[in-house]
Amino acid sequence: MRVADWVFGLILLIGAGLIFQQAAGFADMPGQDYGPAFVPSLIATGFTICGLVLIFTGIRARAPAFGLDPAARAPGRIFDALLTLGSVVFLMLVWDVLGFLISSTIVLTVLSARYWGGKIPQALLVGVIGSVVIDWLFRKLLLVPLPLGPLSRWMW
Amino acid sequence: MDPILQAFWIVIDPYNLTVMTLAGLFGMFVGAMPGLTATMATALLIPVTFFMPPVPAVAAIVTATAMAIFAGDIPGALIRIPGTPSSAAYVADSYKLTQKGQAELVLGCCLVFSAIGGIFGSLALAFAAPALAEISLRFSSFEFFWIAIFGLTCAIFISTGHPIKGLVSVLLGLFIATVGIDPTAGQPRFTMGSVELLGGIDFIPVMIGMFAISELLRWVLGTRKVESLQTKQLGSVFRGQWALFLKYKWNTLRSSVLGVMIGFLPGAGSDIAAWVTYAISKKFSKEPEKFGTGHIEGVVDAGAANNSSLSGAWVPALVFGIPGDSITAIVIGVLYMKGLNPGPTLMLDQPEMLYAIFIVFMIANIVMLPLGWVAIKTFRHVLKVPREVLMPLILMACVVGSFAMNNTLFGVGIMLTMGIIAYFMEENGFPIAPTILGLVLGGLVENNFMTSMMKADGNLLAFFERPISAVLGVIVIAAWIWLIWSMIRAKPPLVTDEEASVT
Repeated sequence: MRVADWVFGLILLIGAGLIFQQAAGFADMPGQDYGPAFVPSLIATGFTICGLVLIFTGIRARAPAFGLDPAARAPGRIFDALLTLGSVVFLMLVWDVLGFLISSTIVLTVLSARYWGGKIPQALLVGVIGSVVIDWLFRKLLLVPLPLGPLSRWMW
Repeated sequence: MDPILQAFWIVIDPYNLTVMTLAGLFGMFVGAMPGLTATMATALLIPVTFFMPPVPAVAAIVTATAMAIFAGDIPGALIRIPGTPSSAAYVADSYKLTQKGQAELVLGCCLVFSAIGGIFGSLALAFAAPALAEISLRFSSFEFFWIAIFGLTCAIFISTGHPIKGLVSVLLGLFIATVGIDPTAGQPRFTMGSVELLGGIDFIPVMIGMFAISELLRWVLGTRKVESLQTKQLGSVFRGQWALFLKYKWNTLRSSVLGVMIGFLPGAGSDIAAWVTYAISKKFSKEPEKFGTGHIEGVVDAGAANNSSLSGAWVPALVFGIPGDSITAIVIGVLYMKGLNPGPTLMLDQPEMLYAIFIVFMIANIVMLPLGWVAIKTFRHVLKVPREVLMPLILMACVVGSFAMNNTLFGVGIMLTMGIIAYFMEENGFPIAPTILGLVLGGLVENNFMTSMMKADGNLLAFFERPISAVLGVIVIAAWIWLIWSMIRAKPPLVTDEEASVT
């Protein structure tokens, strides 16, 4: 997705303002000229300069604020992107309640079915096998405490 | 026991060799698959290496990246889609050679000269690192401050066509590094009341997000074209390589040396090494008119350079703790996690570890020949793996990897946020590698600055009072003047946006 330079410039200026505002509240170092606010203020100054340059060049370029690449304009592409990002949010929400195996199976199945153009049985196979393999690799082999959710009664 | 012998024993441990083989196969797969990059391979490997002893962890990264950079040549030559950005420079030549029926020659050339470049780079690393470490033992916070600033400066003006966008990227990384408790006064900064942000933002979820999630988004929003392989069964790829080596031995040497030097520069990785040596090869060639029409000379040059630059990037990483590219930025994080603090003292405290890393480099580049042969022979099958299945699996590996760092979902949130930011940045010409450099170097810059100022009682001129520090300071200032001057004059960039975005 194309975003015009001046939009980035504006975001940088707002960010710089917020950093300056926060940094003003930082405690000073007694007997020192340079305290915890020094580096953040320098960064914010940098953001301000870059922001102004980008606004200037962006306005001169006269590009629209937002634009989509031709490929992304194909039907369903934006929905796919939102689905992909949404699936991570979904995982975060149900991680402890459903456990890894169940939530991962759901996400893998839905995503592969969607990308693959609705081949649901194959997608389900990918979901189940993929989740079991990742669970085995990380929970059993690398001892990452992936949550089991309701399955904890049968697995440990 | 002699440290070199000790290092040798660490490396030939069966566990280590198994890890290297598996990492090699993984690197080959990722490199050969168009759209997946060597940096992504490293990002996906980190959660796994987290649970390994130091040498196998480093060995896994070294082997996987070396293989991925070579394997990126295979789809470049056979279907005209470079597997990694490092192969983009010579893809026109290598594909045209395939069309002329010389697929075996060009693939063999990529493999053999990648290995030669890699072995040269490993030797350069083994000799340069200890020598430089001797010098850098005399460095104090003043010198380390300048070196870190020099690293960030290089990252700004080498990796992109727009210095302002590079600068924004570096500043973003530096800003992320300031989140958490301030190192000198203990002041919480930008934590927004979150307990998890007090500990700072871990760079691994940031990196997984920036290199893997953004890549995924690009695929989802892209054309998702299915590539097909036209070439029939391939014959022997090693035939004719010796003659090629004899003909282009000086090219190989020149490009390997240049590759190491470019790798050494912070911010410039193997892709820049390939572009620069390809251009130089054309300039000094006896037949420059043949470049781009299916001429092997540029392939020899750039193929050797992109692999030698990989080792070159490790020199500043191991000696100064300053990464040469985004892969070594990741590696520095891994070294810290493993208690191998990169910097001059590594040579004094744990020489066997350093030697083990050199030996690993050497073995990885030698093993590349048989593994690469397998990769060329099985490429047909790699291409058949449906991306529609692979991408959700990569997404899940990213989520679990980000979770595994601290066993909290906080890392997953960071990964998602940074993935979205990196997608918008890359789509609009902001390079993302400088952000990672800024994030890794941010703490170092601030700590060394604060320590220096405490020592010098706030006198900024102290940065120019020691001889090495003064020289480094002048170089950095000169680089900035040149940078600003070139921005005003609007000189054409070293690597244009179009070139840099070819993946």
